[in-house]
Amino acid sequence: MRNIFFMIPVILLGYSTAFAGDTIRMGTEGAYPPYNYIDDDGNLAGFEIILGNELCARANLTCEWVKNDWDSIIPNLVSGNYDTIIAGMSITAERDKVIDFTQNYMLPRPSAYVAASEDVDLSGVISAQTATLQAGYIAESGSTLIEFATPDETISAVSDGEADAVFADYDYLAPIVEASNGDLMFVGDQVVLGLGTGMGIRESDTELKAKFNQAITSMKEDGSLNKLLIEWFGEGILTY
Amino acid sequence: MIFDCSSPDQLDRLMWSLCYLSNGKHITFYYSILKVLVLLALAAPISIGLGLFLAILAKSDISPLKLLGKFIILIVRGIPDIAWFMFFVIALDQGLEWVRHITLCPDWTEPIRQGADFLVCEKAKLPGNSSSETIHEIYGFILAIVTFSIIFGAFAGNIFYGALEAVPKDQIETAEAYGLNPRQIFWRISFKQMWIYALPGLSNLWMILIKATPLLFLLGIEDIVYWARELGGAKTPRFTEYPHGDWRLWYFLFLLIFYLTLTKLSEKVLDKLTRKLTYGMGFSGENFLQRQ
Amino acid sequence: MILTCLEIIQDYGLRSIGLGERVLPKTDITICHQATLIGSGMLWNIYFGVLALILGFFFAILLSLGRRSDHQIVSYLCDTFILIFRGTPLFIQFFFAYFLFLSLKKAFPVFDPFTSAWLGALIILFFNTSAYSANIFYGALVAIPRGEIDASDSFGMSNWQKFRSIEFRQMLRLAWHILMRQYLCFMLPH
Repeated sequence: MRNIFFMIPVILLGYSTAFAGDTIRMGTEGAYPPYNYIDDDGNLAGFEIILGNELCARANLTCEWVKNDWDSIIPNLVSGNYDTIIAGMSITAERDKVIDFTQNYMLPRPSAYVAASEDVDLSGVISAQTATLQAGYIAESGSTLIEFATPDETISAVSDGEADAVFADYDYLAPIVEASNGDLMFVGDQVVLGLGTGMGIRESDTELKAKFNQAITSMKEDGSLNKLLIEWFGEGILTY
Repeated sequence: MIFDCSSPDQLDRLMWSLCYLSNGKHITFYYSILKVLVLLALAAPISIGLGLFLAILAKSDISPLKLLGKFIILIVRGIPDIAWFMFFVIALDQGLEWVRHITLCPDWTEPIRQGADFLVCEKAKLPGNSSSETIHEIYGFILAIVTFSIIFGAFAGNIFYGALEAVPKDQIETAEAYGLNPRQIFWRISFKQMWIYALPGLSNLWMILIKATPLLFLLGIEDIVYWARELGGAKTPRFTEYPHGDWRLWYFLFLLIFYLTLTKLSEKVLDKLTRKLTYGMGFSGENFLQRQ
Repeated sequence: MILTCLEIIQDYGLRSIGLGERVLPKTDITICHQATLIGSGMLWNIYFGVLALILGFFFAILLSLGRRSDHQIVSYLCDTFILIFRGTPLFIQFFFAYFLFLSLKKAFPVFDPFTSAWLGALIILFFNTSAYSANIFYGALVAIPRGEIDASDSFGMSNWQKFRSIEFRQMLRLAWHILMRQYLCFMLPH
């Protein structure tokens, strides 16, 4: 008991390391390869991790990565747990009401259906990740939507027969379809949703947004962003 | 690493398993098991301390203190613990930051809430923005321990209160006859005797505490549930050296066995303790529980 | 105001069970929307709570009798069942059961509906509350005064008569308060 009382003032007024104001905490999901995932060593890896580190270097910021579940990734940005979201998040008008976005670092990408057989009925049960563009699209399309907290579970739902097909980002699905040895396949038409992928930043953080916008522009101009995109997503990717 | 795990696809089954189970990701998983044990080891004594404090408050002769003690016990017990977990951690975190904000940055003029944003000055952030992610994780973990301790402290408070009431009246009367004053009676008789009556309830509470630990997952802490899901999920060869199908069943089976062992072990130890402490008391802990 | 709220209830009241409007409101979310949607979700709480408790009540009686049984295998099985469901977190049970049903489903198509929440989660809640209640019943069964059983024996009651008119009643009477407290804890989601 005495211990907590002792701790409270220490937490409240104790040593604070806040004067080096340049550390930016970058929130990501860590479950969405090739955008961001956890590698065998337990560290974050993926396109966005490389990109984020490069952007921080260009903007002269010290960055620290933070993992956060997808469904609470916006609330935790807004309440200040970290300063940016860089998690394959598409820019949409709806999200833009709550947070701000930098310019996109990926052009609008197609979303696609993946099923376990060619002749699947796309107006049946479709799985998608909670609070994504794709989930919103399915909900409005008239198919039955089942939502999962992680992208991984949306795929399992199809393999397990819980859902007829999964609707997700093409780039996320492609390596999975490839590795499935023909068990999973792309079906139906691709749909382009959203305004591209960008970094989410608190609405009040205009200064940070400007810094990252500038860094993204510089990467677009010198072609390093294109190189990175091709490296992670293959030759077919739309470049700047 | 002790084994040569540089090219897992070339290894035989046994070596592959050893390499797989000892990669960095699995080490983090084992570490998260430790987190559960640390949580238990810290939350239990703090809860008991808080519970004693609340029970003493509720037994106080000063009526505002008495009411306060009873009120805290009632309010925490009356609300489902999940609701507490969701609400309390955010409230505690923002509350602390707010207190720091008004003490450390008195010159700040902008409002703390701007639309959906919760903004405090740089110095008031907890932990500071530039502290390492480990510090942030420890801070989150401490918040979780505090939350667990408050909830279980209130339950313990209720148990101690009941136990203090259960101390036989004749003992108190005997003490009075010996001329002990109320304070002496409380500390020398009631407080010492009540432990035996509280033990069955506390054992029960410990079991509930063990089973509440997966709720850490709900607090955004990367606990065993998080890692079991992450490790068990199917992995494609492009992003790992150890591709595999959906193994979540096995990871959760492991968790099931882990918790079962923990419960069974605790049961044995607590049984022994109860039997030892109630030796010669004329009742066993279990009998007492039935009588309640 | 009240009229629009009625409309909202019509649109969203049964959303959680898949009837009415699918798409969530995006703008002008009022208190009425929130209350309706939360209320809609609570339909599931009632479904799970009531069904699991009622089914669990009967199964628990069987389990407690099984645990007391002289037949060693029956007693062992009931004991293990109670241990597993009381000794592990409900949260982990849900996860595990879901993956188990998934695997079973692949081998046996009979298990198809088990991975849906309405059945899969119900089974786990049912087993869980059964195990907890069975433990309470068992405690009550062994606490029935020996004399009452002896008396019924000397009246020449059959086993079934003895159970029906003595043990069952006494067991319920002894267990009632603890059982109600347990049910209350169960309904407040743990």
